Amino acid sequence: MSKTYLASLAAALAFSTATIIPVQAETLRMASQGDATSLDPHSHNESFTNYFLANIYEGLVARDKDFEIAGQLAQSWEQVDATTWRFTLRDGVTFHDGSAFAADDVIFSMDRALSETSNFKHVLASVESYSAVDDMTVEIVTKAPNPILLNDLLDLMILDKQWAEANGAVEPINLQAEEKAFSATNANGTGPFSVVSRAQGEKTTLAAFDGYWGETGNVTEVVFTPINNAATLVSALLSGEVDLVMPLPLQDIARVENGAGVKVVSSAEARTMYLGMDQWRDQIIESPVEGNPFLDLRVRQAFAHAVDAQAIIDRVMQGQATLATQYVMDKVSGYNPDLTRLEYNVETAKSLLAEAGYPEGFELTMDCSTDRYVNDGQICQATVSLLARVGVKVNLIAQPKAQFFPKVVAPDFGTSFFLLSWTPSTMDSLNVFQNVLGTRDLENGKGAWNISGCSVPEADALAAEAAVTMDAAAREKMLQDAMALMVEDVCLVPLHVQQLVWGAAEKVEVVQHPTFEFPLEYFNVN
Amino acid sequence: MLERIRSDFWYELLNSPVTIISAVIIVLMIIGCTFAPVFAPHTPFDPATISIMDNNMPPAWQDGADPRFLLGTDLQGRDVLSAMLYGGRISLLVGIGAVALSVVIGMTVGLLAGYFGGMTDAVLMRVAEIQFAFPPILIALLFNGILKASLPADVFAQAAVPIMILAIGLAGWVQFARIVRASAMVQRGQDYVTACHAIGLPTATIILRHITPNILGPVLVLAMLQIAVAIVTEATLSFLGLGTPLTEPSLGALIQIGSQYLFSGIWWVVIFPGIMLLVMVVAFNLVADWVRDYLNPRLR
Repeated sequence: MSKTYLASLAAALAFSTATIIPVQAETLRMASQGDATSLDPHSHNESFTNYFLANIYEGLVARDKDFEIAGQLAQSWEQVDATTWRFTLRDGVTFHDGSAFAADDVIFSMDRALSETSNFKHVLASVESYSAVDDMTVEIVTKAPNPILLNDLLDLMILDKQWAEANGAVEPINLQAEEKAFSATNANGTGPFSVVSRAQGEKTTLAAFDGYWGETGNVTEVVFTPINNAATLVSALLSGEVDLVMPLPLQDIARVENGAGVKVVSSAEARTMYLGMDQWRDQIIESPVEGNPFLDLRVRQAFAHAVDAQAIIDRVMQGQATLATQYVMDKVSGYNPDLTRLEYNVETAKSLLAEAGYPEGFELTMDCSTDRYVNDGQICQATVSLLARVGVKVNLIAQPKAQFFPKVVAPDFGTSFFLLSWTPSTMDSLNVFQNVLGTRDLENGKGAWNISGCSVPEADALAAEAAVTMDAAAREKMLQDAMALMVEDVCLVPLHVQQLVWGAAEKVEVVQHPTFEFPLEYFNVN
Repeated sequence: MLERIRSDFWYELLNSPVTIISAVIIVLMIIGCTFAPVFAPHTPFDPATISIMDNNMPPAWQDGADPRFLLGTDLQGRDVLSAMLYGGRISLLVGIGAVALSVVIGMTVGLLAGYFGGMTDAVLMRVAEIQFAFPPILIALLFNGILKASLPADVFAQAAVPIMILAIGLAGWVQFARIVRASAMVQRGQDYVTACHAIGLPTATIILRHITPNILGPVLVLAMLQIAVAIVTEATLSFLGLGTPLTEPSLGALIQIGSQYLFSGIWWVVIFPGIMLLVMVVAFNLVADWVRDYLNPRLR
């Protein structure tokens, strides 16, 4: 074999590798414990489904890489008056099937979000009317000044009117009836990824959309596989079968940290865990005690002093959480930086209980889910043993969420002591006042998740005022003051803000948002 | 039969070292678990004595261990050895209690069906056969589910052990009924029963005083085997999250808690209770096996 031949062979090889690398597709293989319910963006309001679909469909506005609200399908917007908003739509945007995006698609999508089978009616709850001013302008009129209209619109995904009409997808699929309509397995959005194949519960393949209007990372293909067993999920990551696992079971963090070629990525999630105490019944339920000890502020304070939230964070959450001082985390507007949590102190707790007339403590029942939040059953067991030290005997009912939620939710609120949590999807604490902290007014849709039944009228008034205050600084102050009142009243015992913990291959660069979004257009595979 | 036990029982037993070891293990486990509060170094079912700060400690011979916890601690800071003794007590109690219930129901049904025959036999045994068509675990799940739906949640959580005994006991009586019925039918035709009739003894006396003692042999063997089955059934139900409460776990519930951490380095929470369950079940089976051989004249 001549030297010239070898040299040319080497050159040919070098040339071929050089040409192959740039065109090689960057595939991101991701896995999670569950699948998106369907591909219909108005059918089921559930975090994972919403944020999976946010890679395929887009809204008027969205959170950018830095978690700020930015225009997505809306190029810009202006407020004509206190209640009228005018959105100028982005030019030159096309849907995955090539058809152009225009104002009638926005109007159609709003109609669709308000239709009978939609699970997203709440996003337009403050809206009086909407109309297309011209082909590229949409006007929205609210019932009252709504300072967080943009936040509300984050979850409103836009579909192609012609595509939906041509394929019988004018109405969202009916979740309860488990309808198998076209829009359950097909999608046509404007987002950075289009659907290549979809097998519910098995595998979904997405491809980067060539005609996408915005900047994207280098991921050209996404293969998503649901794996519902924690051990299998982690093994898949460690063996290189998948590149991204979310969430990563806490007990396997050390394994992934020590594994070769894999890493743990974590950041704060906007989910605040708390203990709730019955403050509305005259007699607490499932307890031999006479009356309702929680009506006495000192008992609620004693509980806050007795539960060592830091120990729960260090030991049960294995450090993957931060101490909660109030009922929202620090990135949520209305967070009050001046508030502190009542410190862990057994003696203070005991003397407060004694002052309230329970020197020997008392006995009660606690409700807890075991498969909803990160290590929820373990948190409850730790709470039981911490409270036992101040003489409070807790009988724990640890149950799957399928039994837990029906027992504790409206209208019966069948619990007197429980573990729960809340994520304000709008990243605004008004959402928490409307749902969790505000005095119950079920007919007007307020306090549906106020299972404790706490009520601080002054805080209600401040929250109501904040809802219609457009001056951001004044509004923030009102929400902060309202939060301070709720914390002072020990409406709930704050525990911790849990971390988002994902496991990823070393080569994967991800962006995490506190509301659990995973915008794949910002991800890179190196 | 009792005469024979006296003459060669010890001879047969001493010739089977495996049985002796198994029997000793069973006795030790029953003593250790029954008197768990005396033997266990900690009181894992009293939440006031558990400290979350002691959690995930490895067994005493490993690095980072605490000599207070011989077999390490679980995620809540519970001493694994103590939890095994307390949990084993629940497992044994449920196993023995459930079999006792099965024996009572099974013998009653079997004696009635076998002695009276005819319509009584047909009805009782058809019911038994219908139940026999379903796997016992399914029946136990069903009873457990019905009780869970009909009792308030706090009552259900506090009555976990009696509920398990009821559910597993109700699931296991059919085998006893069949075996007792067959024996009772054989005994009914014996001369001594005819003699009892002849001297005018009441039926109840004939059944309880004269037939019952003669059919206890096979019932005893089956009961020993069924204790092992009942312990496994309890462990299975607890493993599925239907059994004992999280704060008072049985062996099966301990294994369920530990299994989530098996590959995460915290192996001791699942391995030690698993070994204990295995040894307990094998020991009961081996002893039952020997008793069966001993009582079976054809094998001698």
